[in-house]
Amino acid sequence: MIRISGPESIDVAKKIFVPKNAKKTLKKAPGYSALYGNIVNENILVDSGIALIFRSPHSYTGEDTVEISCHGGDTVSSEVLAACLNAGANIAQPGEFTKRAFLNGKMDLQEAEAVIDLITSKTMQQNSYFNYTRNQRKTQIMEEIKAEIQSLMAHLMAWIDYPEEDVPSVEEQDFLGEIQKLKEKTQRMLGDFEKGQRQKRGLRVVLLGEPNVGKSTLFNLLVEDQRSIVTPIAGTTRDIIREEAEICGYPILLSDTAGLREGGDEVEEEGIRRSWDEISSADILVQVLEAGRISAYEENLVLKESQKPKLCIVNKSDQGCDTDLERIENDYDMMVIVSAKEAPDEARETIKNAIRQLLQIQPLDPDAVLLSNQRQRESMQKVDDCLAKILAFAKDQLIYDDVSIYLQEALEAIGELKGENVTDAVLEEVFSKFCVGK
Amino acid sequence: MKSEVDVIVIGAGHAGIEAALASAKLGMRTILMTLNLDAVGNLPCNPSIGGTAKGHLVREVDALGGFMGLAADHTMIQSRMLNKGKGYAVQSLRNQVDRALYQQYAKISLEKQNNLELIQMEATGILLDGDKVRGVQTHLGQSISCRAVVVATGTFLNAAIHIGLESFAAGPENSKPAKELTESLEELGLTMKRFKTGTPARVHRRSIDFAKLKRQPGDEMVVPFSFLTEEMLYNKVDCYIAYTNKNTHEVIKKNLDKSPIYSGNIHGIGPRYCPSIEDKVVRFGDKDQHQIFVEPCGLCTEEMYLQGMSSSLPFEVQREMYRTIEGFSDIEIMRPAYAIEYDCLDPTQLEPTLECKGISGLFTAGQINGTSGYEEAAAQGILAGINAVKTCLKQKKLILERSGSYIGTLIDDIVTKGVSDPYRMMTSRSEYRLYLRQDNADDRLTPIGHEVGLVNDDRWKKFLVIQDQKKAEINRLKNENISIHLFSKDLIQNKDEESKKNDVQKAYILLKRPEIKYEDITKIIGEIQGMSNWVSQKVEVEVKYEGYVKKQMERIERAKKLEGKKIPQEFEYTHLEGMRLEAREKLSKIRPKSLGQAARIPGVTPNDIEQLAIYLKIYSENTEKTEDDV
Repeated sequence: MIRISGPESIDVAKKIFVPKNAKKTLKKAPGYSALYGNIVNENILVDSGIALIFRSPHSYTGEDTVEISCHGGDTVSSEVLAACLNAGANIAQPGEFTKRAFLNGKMDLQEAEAVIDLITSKTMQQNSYFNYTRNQRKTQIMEEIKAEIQSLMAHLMAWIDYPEEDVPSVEEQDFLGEIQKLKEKTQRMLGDFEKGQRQKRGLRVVLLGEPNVGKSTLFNLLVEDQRSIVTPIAGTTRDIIREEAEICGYPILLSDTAGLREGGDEVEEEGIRRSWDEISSADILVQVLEAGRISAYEENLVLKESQKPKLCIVNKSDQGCDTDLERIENDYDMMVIVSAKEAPDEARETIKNAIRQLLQIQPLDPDAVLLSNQRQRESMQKVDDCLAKILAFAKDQLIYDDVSIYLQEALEAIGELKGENVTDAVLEEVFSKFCVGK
Repeated sequence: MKSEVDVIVIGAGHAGIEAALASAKLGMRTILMTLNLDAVGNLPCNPSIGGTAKGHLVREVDALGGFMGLAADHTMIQSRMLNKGKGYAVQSLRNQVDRALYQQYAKISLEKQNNLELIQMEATGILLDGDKVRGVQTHLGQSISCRAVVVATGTFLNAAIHIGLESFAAGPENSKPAKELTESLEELGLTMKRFKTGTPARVHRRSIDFAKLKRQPGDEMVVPFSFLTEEMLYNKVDCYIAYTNKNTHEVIKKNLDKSPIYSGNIHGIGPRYCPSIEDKVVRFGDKDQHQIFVEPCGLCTEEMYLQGMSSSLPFEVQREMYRTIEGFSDIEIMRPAYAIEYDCLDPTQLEPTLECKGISGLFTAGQINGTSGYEEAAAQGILAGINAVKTCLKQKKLILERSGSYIGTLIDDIVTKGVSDPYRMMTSRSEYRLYLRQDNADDRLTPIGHEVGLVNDDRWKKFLVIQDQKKAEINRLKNENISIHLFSKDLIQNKDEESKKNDVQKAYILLKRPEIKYEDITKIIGEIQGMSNWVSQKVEVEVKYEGYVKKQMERIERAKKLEGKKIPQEFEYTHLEGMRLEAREKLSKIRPKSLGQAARIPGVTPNDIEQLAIYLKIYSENTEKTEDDV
């Protein structure tokens, strides 16, 4: 399906779409109507298909929009796309339709973000997971947090602004107890966000090892696809090759590095430099050794110093070990022995299990409520920080004017998150809840 | 009366007094018109000045060189600092004042002011020359020329008093209402609203059994409002507290059909923060009692004010209701409680200078702008007066930022958000409340007052001395080491391990602790001779609040980024088709000066602001392009 959006979309579509029914034209077609016709590129027939017409503002983007459904396949659809471009359309940037929908007031920031997450989500579980953010539950929890802060704030401000009236006084212990409860909620949301991020971003697994110990074979085994070039010549893999695998619904970003060797030619040195970069951003380091050549293995200093989880895979177990493994066992958090060639399925499972254990990956709770992006996380973090500051007062004494400012900031942060203006909400609550005034 | 002056102020209430004095002090030939010379500076409701956040306003007006603080000190009969123990930023001063003396003091101050002509005269119309003010029409047929007008008519426009189902056209104290001026303002294209407010009965002192009430004395140490007041002030009276009970509430409920509000006779919108006793009983039915403060109206009268009991029930019902209260069984009403309805402006028609949009030289201040309270009125009056002068001198008008004062906050609130009910200042209205304290009102505003010209050289010198003393003392605290063992045991017991290890610390660091007071420190390191209480209080609060204020300053800087994004005057909202209609309408109406102000308009969401920011960027890029083409 090709979507054309914008004030001139119908003019563009008119040039490439010729309705079968000669009495009908795109120009006159009402919104939400469909026409069947031929798709042409400069008068050459490309395909036939359906054109759906949306009239502003009743479309996804809020603009006039034409959606052309053509026959599948890369070739046909790219020809149709070329026809559109020839007719004066510009190619959409990633997320452009959503951006326009936002700019035209068709969705708010949170919805737009949810859509963009949906577009960019990587695996199936992620997909259903982020779909969830569009759901009511997040809104509901935010609303709860907001309502609780607002209620504390209203009580505090009524008590401050009406010192002589019978507003129940703010009791320090009760107040701090409420703050503590709120903080548990914000903490949970922030924790779930980290998990969600892990899932979204994927886990970086870097394969290390002497040239030709079989890293690429393992790599291919894990992604179940043949991408790295496997040759018996040492140093074949010079570029970082990154590919995705999946463990428990989390995408795993595997990178196969050039073997870390001193010397070699210039190309190889460049490869080695990049390998170092990879290591520094890895979530887990995986050293691959060849069973028959363990004795030749020299201690890898980088690996030893790194604080990251370390896994050692002894490959080619069919060759038998040439030395006692105990010598190196302590350098790693875990060690597994596999044969990628002889028992590939078993090897894959063993390695995935090891990674899962080392990174403490837990399957995601499908009911968890996730903040969808960094912006939302920052707002929630602000709320959490403000609550922490209030709790920090507890060791001396609560100074209520300062406390009120932190509460106010927490409320504003949650308002930011929800895209609402919260400044007057507190006053509304003061007057509706407390009998104040002379 | 002169036939031509610079500035005419209409109304001699708390807004009018500040406006007229500011204008005359700044050298403008000024006329102040009032309906009744004996009602200048009247306190038609409670006999007190200040209170939470209102006390801050009084200090700010004083710091700018205004009148109210001095008057409240001069006529003080009881003083209390409210909110002690809730943090310095929300402490507020309130003075009970002698109402008659206050009026006298206001009148004589106006009479003695050079350049100021005080006259009993009704203004019936504003005269324009195109879109500029040229004068004022009076009820005696004169038209007086001027270059700027401040309308400060309080609750007098089209005023009507309601007592029970009786109602009659009258301003406060049954005075003559102003009718024609409303029509004149409407003819200028201004939209009016109708508000209501109310006041409780005044009763005779001898009819109260004080033995049955709780006594509420003033503070032992009285702190003045004005930074200029040097004499020691003493309390002269006590106030008392009484409570309503179930019987009182029964009387009210039984007679609700005779209340003009519940029977629908009053259409004006009353203040949420100042409900009548009927409202309280109806809306908070679960409460068994409500508090009443019994306050003397002055030293030369037996009238007592019953704060908390404002009502518009019929006179007999009022008496029956008051008499159910413990201590009030023989109560003798001297002035019945009443509700008053009046016309006011929709303040979104004003610039933040308090000038009416599109009418050069016309300013409004006080209750006419939909606010309530003497202090809120004075705050607007002084700014309107200053800007009336600036209009005459063709100088850039003064706008007070909301980050710098409660006055600025008040004005920004009403011109940006409008008012749905009479607006009262509260500390919760300011997001900068840790910085906008009453103790530093002079630090914040006296330099502005000096630049404007309302702060004279004497006061300015005094101000600079205080600033120097404060700085020197803070420096001393930063250098003096104190062993914590020198403090009394109770003060430092249960303290953390750190202080045990680190038993010698800078006085400055120690003063930051909530439990250590400035006087605990000076007991050890000695006092500075000749340093006033003002300074020691400033030092104490400034040191303790330094960290929080720094945080507020960061916030102010952040806000300035949005405030700094100016919206061109000619920017059109109606064609921004992508934007929600409601947002476009609100923005077109208020025409905010900056993105910051736009963000505070109710009904405009953060999403709308993000869109607006993009449109403004596109707009400025296009304008630049066009300019380049030329």
